[in-house]
Amino acid sequence: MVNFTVDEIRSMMDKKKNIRNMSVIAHVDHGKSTLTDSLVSKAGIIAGAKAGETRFTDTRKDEQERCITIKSTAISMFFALEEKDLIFITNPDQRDKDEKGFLINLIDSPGHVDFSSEVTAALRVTDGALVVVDCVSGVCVQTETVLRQAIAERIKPVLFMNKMDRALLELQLASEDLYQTFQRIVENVNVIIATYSDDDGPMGEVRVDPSKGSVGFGSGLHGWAFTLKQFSEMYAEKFGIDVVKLMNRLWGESFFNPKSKKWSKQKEQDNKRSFCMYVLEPIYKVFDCIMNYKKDQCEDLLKKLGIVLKPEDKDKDGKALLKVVMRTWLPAGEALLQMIAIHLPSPVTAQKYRMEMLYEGPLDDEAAIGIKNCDPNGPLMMYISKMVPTSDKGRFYAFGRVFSGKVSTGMKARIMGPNFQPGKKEDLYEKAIQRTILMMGRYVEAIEDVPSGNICGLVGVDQFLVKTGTITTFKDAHNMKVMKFSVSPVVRVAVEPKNPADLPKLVEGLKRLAKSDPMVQCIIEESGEHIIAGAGELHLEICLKDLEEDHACIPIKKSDPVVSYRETVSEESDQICLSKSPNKHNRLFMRAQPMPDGLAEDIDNGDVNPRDDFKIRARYLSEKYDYDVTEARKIWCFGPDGTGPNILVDCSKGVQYLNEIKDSMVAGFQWAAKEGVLSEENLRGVRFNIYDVTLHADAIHRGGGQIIPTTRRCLYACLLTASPRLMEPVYLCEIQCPEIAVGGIYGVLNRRRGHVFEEQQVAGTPMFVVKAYLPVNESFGFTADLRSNTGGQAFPQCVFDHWQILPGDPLESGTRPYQVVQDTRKRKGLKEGLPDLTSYLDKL
Amino acid sequence: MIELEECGNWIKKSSFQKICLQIPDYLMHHAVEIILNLQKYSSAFLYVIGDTSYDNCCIDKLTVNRFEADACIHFGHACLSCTNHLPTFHVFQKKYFDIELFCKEFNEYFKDESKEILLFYDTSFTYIIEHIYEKLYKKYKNLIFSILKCISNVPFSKIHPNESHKSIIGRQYSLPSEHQLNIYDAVFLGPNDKTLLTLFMSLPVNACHYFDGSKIYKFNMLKSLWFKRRNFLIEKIRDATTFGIIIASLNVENYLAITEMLKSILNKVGKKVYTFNVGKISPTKLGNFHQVDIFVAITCPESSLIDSRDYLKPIVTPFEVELAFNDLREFSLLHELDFKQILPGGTNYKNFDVTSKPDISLICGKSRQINSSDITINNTLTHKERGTLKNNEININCLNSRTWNGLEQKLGENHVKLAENGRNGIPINYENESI
Repeated sequence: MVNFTVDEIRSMMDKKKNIRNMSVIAHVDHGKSTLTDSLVSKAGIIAGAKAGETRFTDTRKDEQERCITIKSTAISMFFALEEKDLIFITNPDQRDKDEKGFLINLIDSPGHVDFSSEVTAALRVTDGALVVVDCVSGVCVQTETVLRQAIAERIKPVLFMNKMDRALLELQLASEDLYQTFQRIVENVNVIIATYSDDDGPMGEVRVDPSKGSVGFGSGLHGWAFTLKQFSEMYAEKFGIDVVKLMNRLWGESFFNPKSKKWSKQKEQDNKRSFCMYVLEPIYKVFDCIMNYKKDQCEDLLKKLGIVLKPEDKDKDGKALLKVVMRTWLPAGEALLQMIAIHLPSPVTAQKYRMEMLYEGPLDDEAAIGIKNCDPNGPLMMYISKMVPTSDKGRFYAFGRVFSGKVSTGMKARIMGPNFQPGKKEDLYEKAIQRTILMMGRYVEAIEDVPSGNICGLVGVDQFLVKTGTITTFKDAHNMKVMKFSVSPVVRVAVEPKNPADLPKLVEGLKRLAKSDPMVQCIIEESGEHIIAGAGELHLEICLKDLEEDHACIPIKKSDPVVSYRETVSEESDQICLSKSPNKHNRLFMRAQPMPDGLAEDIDNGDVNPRDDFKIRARYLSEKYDYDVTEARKIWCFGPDGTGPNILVDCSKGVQYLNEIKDSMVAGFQWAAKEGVLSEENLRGVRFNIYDVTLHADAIHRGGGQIIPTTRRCLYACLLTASPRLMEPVYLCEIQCPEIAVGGIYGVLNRRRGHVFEEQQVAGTPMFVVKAYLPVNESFGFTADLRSNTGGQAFPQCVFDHWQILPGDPLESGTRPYQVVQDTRKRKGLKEGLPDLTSYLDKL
Repeated sequence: MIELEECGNWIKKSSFQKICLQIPDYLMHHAVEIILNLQKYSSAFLYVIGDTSYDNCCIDKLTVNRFEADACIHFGHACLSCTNHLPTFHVFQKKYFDIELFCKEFNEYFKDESKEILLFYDTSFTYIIEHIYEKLYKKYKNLIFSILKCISNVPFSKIHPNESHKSIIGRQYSLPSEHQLNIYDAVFLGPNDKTLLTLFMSLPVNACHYFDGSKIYKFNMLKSLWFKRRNFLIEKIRDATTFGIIIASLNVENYLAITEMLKSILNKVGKKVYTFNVGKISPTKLGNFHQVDIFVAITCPESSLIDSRDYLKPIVTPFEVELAFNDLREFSLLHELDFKQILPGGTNYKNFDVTSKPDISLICGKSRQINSSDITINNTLTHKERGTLKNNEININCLNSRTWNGLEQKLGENHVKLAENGRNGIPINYENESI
């Protein structure tokens, strides 16, 4: 039975200090969903015995079948904390004086790197994160990625060491070894935290510390967990030491000598580490008694620990009994709840320091103040971070967080998409909110209104937004900042309906798919192909399945996955290229050259961007890349789309009317940068220099019609004379495996043009971590290949890392780039063969 | 050598005083010869029209009218879509055609002799059709030949007054009353080019085939690049905010009606429309109109198929615009290139209705709205920069993106100098600055 009602939750929503919005994040397979079950069962939503197996937050059929979380799922729960625990909450912003209850809005997120955009969307609407680490495999690549993202979003973490049952039962670690493992994980996590945040930062101290109770230990699968607080409370009376003081003694270099009853800071002959002695030993004893069927000892122990078993559990033995005993002794829900309530921030605390990261507008306008104070009476400011499909096909709940004001059923609000700009009408709608709802994992509950600091869903807003947006009642409000994803959609498939007459359904389905996933891109290319672009093979597989079964509901033909390439140059043009306009009266003289290493990435990351002050940008470019300052000041534009990693630089001197044709040349440059000369792919990392321009004296003869096509021709000539090359996307690939499998990994990587750049053993475990670069194009079927070559022991995580030149000259037939160019041209319906320089280059 | 006998007889029979000869560029060197030859038949005044205002496949009515001529003789390939009241005589080219080979291929390709087949052909093969007809009509009971809807130098072309004849792209055919078009296979004699595409694109037949001079191929509309690209163009149309209607032919019927219809559709969906008349369409001309997002060409069906890859902004047909915005028009695999049919009274006319439901663009992934009239921005004047105000109602976006706004004064930056001699001569070659 659910032990709270919607009305209770609604009344809790007003007590914003008693709300905790949190997400559960971790590496794939570290047990997030399983652990979440403990809390869900504590809330009475599922039976305690089923906790750990149900994975209540894995709501989709394929999630249950594959045992992997694909979508993040939100659930709101109500818990009450005991008086003795409440005193641990000292900050007045963290608790209402007279309220024992806490409303926890939890989001369970996927761990697979392909779905990390879901994590980003979850982090945005929460203030705290429960970082789960499998204590057997330790801190993995995805742990680091999500933790880094959390810190960047100013999300406070707490740590949970999961799968202790495995450490005890399978690895049979000695207690000191287990302590060392824990200690190392805590250190690793704190190193990551320290790298991306400061203790003097606005969040205050972010580090996790077992002695403060912000680190939990346990087993999600068996449903038990503890923090040092639990054990400290057990011993506090016996020792006559204050709980908080004792917690400090139970962790770290703190030893106790049972004979002399003395504490010490160093390991000595007779003393033992207090953590092992007081925390681990009792647990080891329970495990030993039950798993080795020592019935008599067992009963004694249970009595000592004060565990009373239910009559139906008394007959159990072995693992089943172990589960029941541990769960009764150290219920996971309780430990988690305390960690969350005591150590994670309330919206009141969090929004104070998060506001400046969240709001694009001036930091002193009404909306900003409303967010900062988490003011339910301020103007409504709500961020929609993702769309959740409803049972009604094609419709979605807009899921997000109310940061200020109150959103209620039927109210009229402004719905602003990511392209909205204050004062303009683009991407702006004024509509009524049909309904506000509470997300409860597998089902939803209607609710009248939702005040600031809470997470909820909206009905009727989905059709006005693509993926994300801001909802407000404040006329002059700016947007909330858009989310930055850590992965890019580099893998693509083309889809078409099996029955051509179904095309409109496919198009409609693609639009729905685009909504339902935070990162997937559904695009139609110039050639008319419908493309779905995702982060990796698994992501695409899920997207295609959703498209076919849920969104389009028609049979679909799909191409093999492909990657998109970029065109670039490897040398400076071997001549100054001249092109004449159609009327022969205007001449352009230009050259292309490759950008220095790193500049294209700087532009991608926005470190160098078109909005910079040109003087500051020029100084940066001259210092870092040795560009001539006067030239660097005359960067006309970036492209494609005005922001891309190619530049057009004016290196000419004293050309008459040049500023008149600038717009036309920029248009020609954008065109050429979008559709390169080889196969109409985007350009990357090319700098074009304009050396001289002769123009007709009459403005009418140097109009856009003359200059735009000529600029494009001239740029194409520049590219062709500068040893053009193709670039392909490359994954950073991290593989975890036991030592014996390492050889197999090298074999597979070599065959796929991958190269290993780091290989190391995970300290304290027999596992190895191999890091390698792998061309995305070679990654299709990589996971399966790797598994079959390592007996299923290696598991890769691939994330897009950088672009790299595909070796070989695309202008020379027989090379690999040549083949790629020809395939691409064919797919796009372009003339086969190579572009002809003479059609772009003119003679004086 | 161009055969002019038929043509001469035609002039002789009628009593035209002034006749225009429309000769394409590649035949222009024969113009003198043609004139001398035709003068033998009639004393009428003959004009030669070269460098036509629009594409050469249409009769250049504009020029004909300027000379106040009574008739026109058109040489070379024609799209036959011009239905004006000007007496016109077409002189088609006669290209070599291997009848034996064709009949052999045809017999092999169509084993079923009762198959319903509709035969079309390129204008340059018209002279041979009679022979093919004689060879095939006995064997294939359900083989129907189309005829060209014009007066010309070759048989198998005449204007049928009979209304029971259906006509498509200047070709007429008559089906037995119990047959529907969709059970027929269409065969086209001629290469896989614009004429074929134009025809098959709008013909609701069972299957399409063509004979390229050596073999019969099946033609798959859905695989054609043009058709695939239509999907892209329709998205592009929905994304565009500024439209340019180019009137690129004045002698297709109802060009004004379709212009008005397009304007009204685009106004209803809140788009900005400009109308252009640029003569023959070329990238250079259209490149001068930066701010236009997409062009709609109003011209004869054949010239509507413009491969706009060389153009900065795509060019689409009126049908595509209608397809993109009209909710009442169902998606169809066929394409209506003859815009007359989508006008009220045409065979493919649909009432216009548009929902204002917002939508996602598949090109840039942004949300787009059809009509934004329900949004009110109260304060018309907003702060733009320090100390300046901006009026939101006036859309100056297209100018905002430009860096060049006209003459720069540069006060105080230039030294005062005495006037000196500037350029003189004509732009093609200034006297002091030769090219």
